[in-house]
Amino acid sequence: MKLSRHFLVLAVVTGFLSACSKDEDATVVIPPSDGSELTLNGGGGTGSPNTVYVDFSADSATAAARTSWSLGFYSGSDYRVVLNGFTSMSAVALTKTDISTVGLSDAEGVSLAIGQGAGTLSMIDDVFGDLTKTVIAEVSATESSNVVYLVKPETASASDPSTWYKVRITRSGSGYSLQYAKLGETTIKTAAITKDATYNFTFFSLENGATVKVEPKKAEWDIAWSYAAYYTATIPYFFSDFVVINQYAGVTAAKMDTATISYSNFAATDIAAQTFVSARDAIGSSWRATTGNGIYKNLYYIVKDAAGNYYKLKFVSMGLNDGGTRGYPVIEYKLVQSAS
Amino acid sequence: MRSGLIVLACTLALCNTVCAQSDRNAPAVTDSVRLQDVVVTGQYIPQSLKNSVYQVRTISAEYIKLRGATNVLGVLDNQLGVRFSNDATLGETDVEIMGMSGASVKILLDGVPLVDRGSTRQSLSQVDVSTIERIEIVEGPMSVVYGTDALAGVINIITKKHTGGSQLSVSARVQEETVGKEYALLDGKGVHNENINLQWAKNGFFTGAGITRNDFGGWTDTLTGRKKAWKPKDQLLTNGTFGYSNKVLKAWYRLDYLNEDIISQGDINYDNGKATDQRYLTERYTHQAQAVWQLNSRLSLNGSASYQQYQRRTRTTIKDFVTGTETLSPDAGTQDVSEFNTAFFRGTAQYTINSLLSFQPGIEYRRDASSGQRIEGNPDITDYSAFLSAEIKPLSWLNIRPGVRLSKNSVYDAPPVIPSLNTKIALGKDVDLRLSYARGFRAPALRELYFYFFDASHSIKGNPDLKAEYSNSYTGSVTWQALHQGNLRLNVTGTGFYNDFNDRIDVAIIGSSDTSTYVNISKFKTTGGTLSGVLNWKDLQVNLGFSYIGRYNQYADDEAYNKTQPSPEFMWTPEANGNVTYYFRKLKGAVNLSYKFNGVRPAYEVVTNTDGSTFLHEVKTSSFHQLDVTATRSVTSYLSVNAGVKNLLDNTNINNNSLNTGQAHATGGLLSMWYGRSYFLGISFNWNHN
Repeated sequence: MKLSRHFLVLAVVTGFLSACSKDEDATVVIPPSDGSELTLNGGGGTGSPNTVYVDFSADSATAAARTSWSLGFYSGSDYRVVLNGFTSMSAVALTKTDISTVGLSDAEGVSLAIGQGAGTLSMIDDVFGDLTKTVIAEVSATESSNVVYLVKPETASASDPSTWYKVRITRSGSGYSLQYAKLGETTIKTAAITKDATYNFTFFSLENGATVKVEPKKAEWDIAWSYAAYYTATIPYFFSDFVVINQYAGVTAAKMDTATISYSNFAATDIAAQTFVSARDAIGSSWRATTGNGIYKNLYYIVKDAAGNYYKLKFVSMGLNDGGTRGYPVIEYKLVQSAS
Repeated sequence: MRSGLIVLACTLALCNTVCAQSDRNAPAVTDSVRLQDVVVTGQYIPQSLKNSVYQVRTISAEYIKLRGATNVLGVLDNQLGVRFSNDATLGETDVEIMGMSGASVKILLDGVPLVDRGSTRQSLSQVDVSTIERIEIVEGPMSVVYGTDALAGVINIITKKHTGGSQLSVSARVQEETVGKEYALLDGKGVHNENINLQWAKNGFFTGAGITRNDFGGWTDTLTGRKKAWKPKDQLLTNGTFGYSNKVLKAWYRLDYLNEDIISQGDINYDNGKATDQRYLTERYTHQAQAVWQLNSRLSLNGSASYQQYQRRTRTTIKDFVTGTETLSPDAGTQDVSEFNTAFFRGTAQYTINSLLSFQPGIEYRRDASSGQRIEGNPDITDYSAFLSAEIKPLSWLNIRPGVRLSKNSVYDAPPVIPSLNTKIALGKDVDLRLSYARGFRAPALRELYFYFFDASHSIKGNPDLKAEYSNSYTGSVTWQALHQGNLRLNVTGTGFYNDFNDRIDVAIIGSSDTSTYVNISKFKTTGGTLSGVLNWKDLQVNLGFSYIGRYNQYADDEAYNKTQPSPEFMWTPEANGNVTYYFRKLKGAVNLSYKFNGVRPAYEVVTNTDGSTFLHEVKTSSFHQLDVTATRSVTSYLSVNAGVKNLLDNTNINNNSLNTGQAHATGGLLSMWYGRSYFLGISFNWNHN
């Protein structure tokens, strides 16, 4: 029949052509990058496996596995121990001081569940990096004042305390002495940890029972990009694409809005007018939103490194509708003023 | 785009060919725009509205045409108690009936349930309007006959069917519409709808086919880059039918195919010269075979079998404007294929013992299988049900229909017994009272049983131990044929309902676990009523209605808040609608004015202060008025023209004063409701040879 032949042709033709592309983009001129660009090897994904330390003056980026360490022992004059704040590690103090008497029964009624609404800010170190507000109290010179802590690594299970650790730290000469074991174990391991003034911290892995190299020397990094412990309202919250500054080495940062001065126009003469912040979250998560927006393209940062150099820093892509790949952020920076 | 032009060109070519062949008159619009009287949803046999034990609302093909609708949502928009919510990110729209969202609404195509991948009833906008004979809406659970999901109600889309005799007919339509102020001829910006349908029948055999292109060019709103506030959506829909009918048997097969392409272009990142684009490509095959067999005057059998394949691909590409290249994004979740397959069979027998008593026993089989991202494994779930209802008419004014459904499910514990009791009481010659109780249920979805999503900020897992949600539902209605004298008729209907939903499935963390899962935890209630009237006077038809619907506020019973900040149990929303149609007999035309008022919609939310304390905040979604004015007119015996203005009051985004904005998953702030005032013009062609 005539009609059905028409129809068949029509159906076939329509089927074929409706698959053609709808891209009708006009030619776009993209200005070349002004300054240095670095792609950070976060390892991919929203909970990227690496922390990436960036040194602007050396144009270098160093990646370290986030979960490769558990505790950081401060190298400064104070005796301070930090939890791994680049993981969702949580910890709580017990009243006991004899680690050999601590067992699974001490976990009864203790919840170390953290993240996605669970947990309290008392289970993690100060999110602004204040070393006087860590979960583990200052290691006392009075040996008997140092209590045992329960520590749940990110990889452990909140509902299974046998995957947690018990730790106790005391001073040992100019360094630290660490006693630790899995919560259900009776054999207590020990480790001696020394301070090295060229680093902020000495890092120790409870899983591997050894000190590990994580951060570059304290003068050799300015900012670090990582999945990190932070907060929302009054509860702990773990942020992807979080940026901390090397506050213990003296790095500070100021947040800028292109509405005030554009990134390309920012010059050494503009530095004096800015307010530099020394807290861990001076950059933090303020540069991006993980839903919808992605990077706030109107924001950039001025970072003063430990040597006194000033850099301007902007985020090029983070993998949220910006042509980048999640977990491999791209940054751009440029020296504004050298240390005199 | 070229495909559109070709469809158009062929449409016109076909018009010329067949116009030359024919001298028959197309049915005039003016004779047919009237409320369809016969309904089928939930009935033993097609039944008049007056005799139905259910209160059914109908929307006719004529009304769909008169409104210039290009999808089903375009005619549901002025129904009382029907509201839409648009997901701007995905380019999808969910429907709500009587205060209950999509998951509790069952969408049927000729009685066969349509598959949806989630709780959003996307299937509703994936049906070709040109094949619709009638839409029937029944409020309240119809779980005895239709099973899961029919808690708030059923939307049954009835397709056009062969009505007997020899027939050759061709119908075609071309309609062009603006999207707000955006429009380009035939392709790109605007709405472009073209379709052709053919029907043929002889000696009891009948066959038909149709093809429709339905393209939506998206809407920019205030954006300036490549990104659009409303995503462009291209649909290609085809259908084919063949069957046989004689005096006692009617059997047919029908296939509906959908190809949908939703395009989400990202803005260019000028720091790297790249943009991320996403496409959501959906393909849907809906096979159905149905048969009705009248064995004798007392016994008839109905069978419906269906196989549905639904596939949705997500494709993410990164376009580099410096090199001019395009690459697939390597990120997790950016390339995905989700598949759903459903096999379905329902068989019923209708047996009349005498004028006082008839029965309908039935069986139903359903198997759903799924795979894709965030679904653990390749699960499938099978459901076996048997149901029985009886229609008892002990007195001439009384019709009682008790029913019960028994189910067995391969995965979860199905509710063992689902009862219902419907009654219709004639209070007088012109007044009918309907009272009913029904148990409704919603089976846990595959997604809720086998969900699996773990990343930096999510750890959610499905729960295979879920039970079905269930509801107790009480509905009542009174219809009064107030006037029927000559060409003056007035019908008034009042309805009321109360629904109590239990074991609702929600995401929660149980005990000291660090994983969220789905649990039967929450409650919900809806209540309210409607009052509506239809007046027919000569060539004028006027419908007016009002509804007042209350949705349960969970904080009313929340111990943390009900003492310090007591809030009401129900949050009420008023709605009003009106439809005025006038037929110009001499001009063979009609004008329609369609209006709806959507009242302020309140809700409560918990807001956290910076110091961590929380308080209860009443969120209000602003009210808005919707108004469409459309007209149609026959130009020749085959051709008619329709034109109109949709959204005359120029609604775009509506306000919602939520304080929880800017957070992950926040739904506050501006809600995109519509894309501004639009104009349309269409030509339709209709030729019949009997």
